[in-house]
Amino acid sequence: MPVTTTPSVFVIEDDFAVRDSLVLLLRSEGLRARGFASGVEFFANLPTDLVACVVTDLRMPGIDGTEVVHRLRELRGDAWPIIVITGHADVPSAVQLMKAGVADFIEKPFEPQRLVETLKGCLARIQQVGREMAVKADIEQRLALLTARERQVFDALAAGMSNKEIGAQLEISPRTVEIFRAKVMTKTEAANLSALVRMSLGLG
Amino acid sequence: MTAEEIRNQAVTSADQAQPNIEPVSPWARLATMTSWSSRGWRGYALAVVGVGLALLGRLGLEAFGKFYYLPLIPAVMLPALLASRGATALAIVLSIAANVVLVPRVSAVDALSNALLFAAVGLAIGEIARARRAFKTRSIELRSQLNTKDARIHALLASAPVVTLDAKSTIVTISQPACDLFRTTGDQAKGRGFHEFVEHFHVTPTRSSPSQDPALGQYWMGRRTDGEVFPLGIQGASVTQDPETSDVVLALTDLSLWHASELRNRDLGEQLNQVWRVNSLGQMAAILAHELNQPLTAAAGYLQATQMDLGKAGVLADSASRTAELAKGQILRAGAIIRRARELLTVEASALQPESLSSMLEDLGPIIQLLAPTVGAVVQTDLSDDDDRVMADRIQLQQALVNLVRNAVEAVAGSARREVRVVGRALDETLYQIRVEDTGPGVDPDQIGRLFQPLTTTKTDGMGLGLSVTRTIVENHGGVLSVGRSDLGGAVFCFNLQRAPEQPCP
Repeated sequence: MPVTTTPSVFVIEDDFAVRDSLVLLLRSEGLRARGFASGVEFFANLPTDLVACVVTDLRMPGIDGTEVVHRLRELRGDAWPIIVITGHADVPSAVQLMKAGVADFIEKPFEPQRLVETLKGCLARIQQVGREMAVKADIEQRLALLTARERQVFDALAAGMSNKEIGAQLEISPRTVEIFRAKVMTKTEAANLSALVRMSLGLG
Repeated sequence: MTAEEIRNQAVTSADQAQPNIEPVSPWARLATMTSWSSRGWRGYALAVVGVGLALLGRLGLEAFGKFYYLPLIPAVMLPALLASRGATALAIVLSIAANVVLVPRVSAVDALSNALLFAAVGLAIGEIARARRAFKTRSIELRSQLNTKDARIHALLASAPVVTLDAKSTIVTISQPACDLFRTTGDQAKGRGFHEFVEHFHVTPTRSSPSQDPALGQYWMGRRTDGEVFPLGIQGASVTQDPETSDVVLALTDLSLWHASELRNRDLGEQLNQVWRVNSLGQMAAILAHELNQPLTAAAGYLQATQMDLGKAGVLADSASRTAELAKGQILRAGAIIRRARELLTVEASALQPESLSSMLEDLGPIIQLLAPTVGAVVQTDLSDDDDRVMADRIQLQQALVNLVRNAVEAVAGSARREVRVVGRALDETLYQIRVEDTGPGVDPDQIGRLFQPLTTTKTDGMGLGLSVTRTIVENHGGVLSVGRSDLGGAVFCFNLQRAPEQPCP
């Protein structure tokens, strides 16, 4: 199992001082933060993280905040919560963004603590999601090593069938099933049958 | 009053004036006869017949005594009065010839002297009669001219508000339209002082130089008999050269309508100015809010980070951390002040209502016409015949249009061709496009991005708010203001508005 660390926070903000201060602040809070000077720069170097938090400004040249929100919602969905910060708040755009699914909408200048707390809430939520996603990804990675026949044996084992029953279903001898079973256990690194069943459940 | 009515009225008054022309006088009759007899052979025939008759008459007088040339005098007078010089001369020659032939004289000297004397008298009579005739003809001509002129003046007075004043500013004559103007009658007004009708009016200033007096170029306040006060234009002139004693003729103009439209224009102008001030203040506040909020946000962030670092230092840094907290509070307070100011100054987009674009532009006409002549630009409006009602906040949209037209007019100032066109076209059932095009140099492609940025300007006397305010107005109308190159060669600013829904049939 890979170690799941705290998800990153990406700050997209064209004003250098705002970006710099937020990244500094988040890092001093012990979060992993990285700044991007524009939406264009962000999408050109889009991180591959399964889960992450995004803090974005609204008014930016090129790809503006609204577009960042829409693109990210499409690409990453709930796994990447978005917090919008703006010095140009107006009610209609706030409503529109909340409807689009942003986690929070904060007007500049703001109490930094508020941003930190909102971020921590989001991070806690996605950390669990991230862990599950990581486990699932890990299992899928291991199952990908199995051949088609081995995968059939794995599914049958997870369904609680005995060697004999499996042999009958797949029309092979229980002896052959035994050999496949050993291979499956090795490839999936499952210590015993119950670990293998848990793995099957982890796929959801 | 239409031109037709005025013409009819003039004709009527000319007819009324007709009886003033005297009926055909004996002299006129004579003139008619003269014109008949003076033509060619008729005059000579008259001379021959006259001499013949005179000779016959003398024959009749033979019973009473001896007459020589005397009875022939009327024979000379007749062509002298009625016919040409030649006819008169013929009558004289015939008379002398008849006498020489018919009447035997004592001596040739006697005959010759009598003949010469008669010729002299005859010629004199002829010339005197001619002179008198010419004089009478001229007088008839003048009289008829005078009558025509009289009729013309009558017609003029009947169709225009005109007042004649004497040296004491008392009304001598007042035309019917002038009476109508003051809601009075000619009989009531005559003899009263003109100052009773026009406040503070004195004829004295008009004396010296009536047409150059600046006061007359401006307007006076006229008072109708029912108490209503109205703006009145007065143009005056003295009747004769001597300004001290002469009557003064005043032509009056009712300026009520002009005044009212002037007031309306000024009103719209003021409204637009007001909207402009509010809009630009709001824009300024928005710019300041945005520009200041960035550094404030950064400062608050840095302070928070500082506090985190101080927290790691332990109890010793507690005091410093508290101070940082206070500083952060002040930064947030500044943010709150900016926010409140912005809320106060932001122009809320009011509810949009169906408004006719042509009517909005019509209202703006005088204001646009004031902009155009300063650089010699021609502003044309070209709206399609479709229903031009769009959903708009009237005064705000007018503000946006004036801004765009003003920019366009200023852009063409340096060009050879100076045209600005406001084009309106229905795009489909729901959208109406408005374009403001010019023949100026156009917008540099690499400037387009900066064009709408507030506080950037290419003009020496601009604040750089115009286009940014205009864009905000267009956005409040749900449109997007875009710029491009016009077919006219210059720039085109273009945006779409929602068309007003069809009106239900009543």
